[in-house]
Amino acid sequence: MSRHFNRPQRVFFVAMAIIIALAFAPSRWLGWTRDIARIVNVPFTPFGHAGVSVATWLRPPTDRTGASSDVERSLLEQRDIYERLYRAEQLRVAELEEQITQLQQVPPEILGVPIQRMVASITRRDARGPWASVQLNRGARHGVTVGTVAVYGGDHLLGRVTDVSPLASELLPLGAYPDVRGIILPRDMPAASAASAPRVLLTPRADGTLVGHVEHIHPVAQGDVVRLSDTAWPVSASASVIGVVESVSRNDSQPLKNTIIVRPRYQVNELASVTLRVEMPGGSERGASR
Amino acid sequence: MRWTIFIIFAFIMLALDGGFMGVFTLPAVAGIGPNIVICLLVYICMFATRLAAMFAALTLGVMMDLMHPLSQGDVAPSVYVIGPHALGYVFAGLLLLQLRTMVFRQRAITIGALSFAATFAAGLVIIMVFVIRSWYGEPTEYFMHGSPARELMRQLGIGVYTALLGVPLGWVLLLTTPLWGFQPGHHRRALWR
Repeated sequence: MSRHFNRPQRVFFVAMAIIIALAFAPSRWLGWTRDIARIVNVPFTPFGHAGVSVATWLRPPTDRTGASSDVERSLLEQRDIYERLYRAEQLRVAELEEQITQLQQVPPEILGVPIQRMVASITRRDARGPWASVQLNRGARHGVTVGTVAVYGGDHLLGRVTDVSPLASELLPLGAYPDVRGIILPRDMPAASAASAPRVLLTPRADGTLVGHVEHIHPVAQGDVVRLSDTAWPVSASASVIGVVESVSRNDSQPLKNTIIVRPRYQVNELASVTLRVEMPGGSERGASR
Repeated sequence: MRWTIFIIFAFIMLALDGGFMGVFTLPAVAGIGPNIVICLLVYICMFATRLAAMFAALTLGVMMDLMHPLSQGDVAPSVYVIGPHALGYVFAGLLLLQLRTMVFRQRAITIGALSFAATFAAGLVIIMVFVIRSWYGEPTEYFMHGSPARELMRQLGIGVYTALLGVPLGWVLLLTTPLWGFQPGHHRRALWR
């Protein structure tokens, strides 16, 4: 052993051999590296937290709500929260109607899932893109579980928690999911029913926007709001805002459809904190299997 | 090289990389941002012995791997693959050790220019590792929204940005040279050819 320490080159080559083996090892063999990473990241967490806070203070997230003051922003947030609840009820009604039509047994779940809101600070973020996961300073001891939904500004969906340790958790942003289903609600018709709203399958893109195709017969316009309507997601995320339609263009390959680009109002890698919607015990398990 | 100083500087750079550096990210240009850890690697490779530089590159690479989880999809926990950054940084280090005899090491602009080369070299190896991993069905979140070629272009952008930031950062690092206790040139060559 001492011979190895007298020959640092040999130590280096052994280390390199181990690193090469690890680099190409299947992911299922690397579960233990998560524990090492958690320990390694502990001393960086307070500094990362401070760094993210300073960075966000220097470069605040782009506010696309159009609010000119904190009061107006707060009112808009409250409006969005209640609109989400209203839209979620509409979607729930439509879902139940469909189930009744098909003579299926209606599950006893209720929409009003008890939710605890919890602010979590981002302690580490990744500059690779809006789809890269971030670390939060809330974990299992605070009630966070895998699948917990993260929002910002009251109602804007950011993503879901994918990994939880006692004091921290990993948030996977919306942009990392292969696809997400939503409904498009017209900007100038707030009373429009969510049940009859056009549905769209959105695919995230590298720049943080999402792309989808909508039947030509549905009048979709710039500024329309897209809300989540995806049974693969927990009920606590239902009808949350995914983003706003940024552009509508003709789809030459599919003449009966329009291509829409949806831009989320906030990107996870621009924020210093998020709000977690922790479902209280007894809530619905819908979407937990995805 | 004094390893205590290396640990302090590595800690500072890694902490900044995971938090504060978000302020420099350009969302409109494929979300590119500078890589200050590479700037530190370039600086060390300019003055340290070959073996010390290689160990520093390996250490910084492993730390980067442990700070950048790889998503496995929806609700599966992320995995930390130790290796891509480590191999990339060692390759970049080897390249820098070859180049350092041809450049003026005491210039901040040298640190900046070599940061571009090092970022691109490291990025090339990282992409290659993930391409090979994808051959046997491993998750390739690294280029989730694009091809490896597109990611390579992105690395070019990161390289240019890192080079721009590397000039002032290199100037600051050069001011700290007396702290590092680097050995003179003939020792540097003798320790590991």
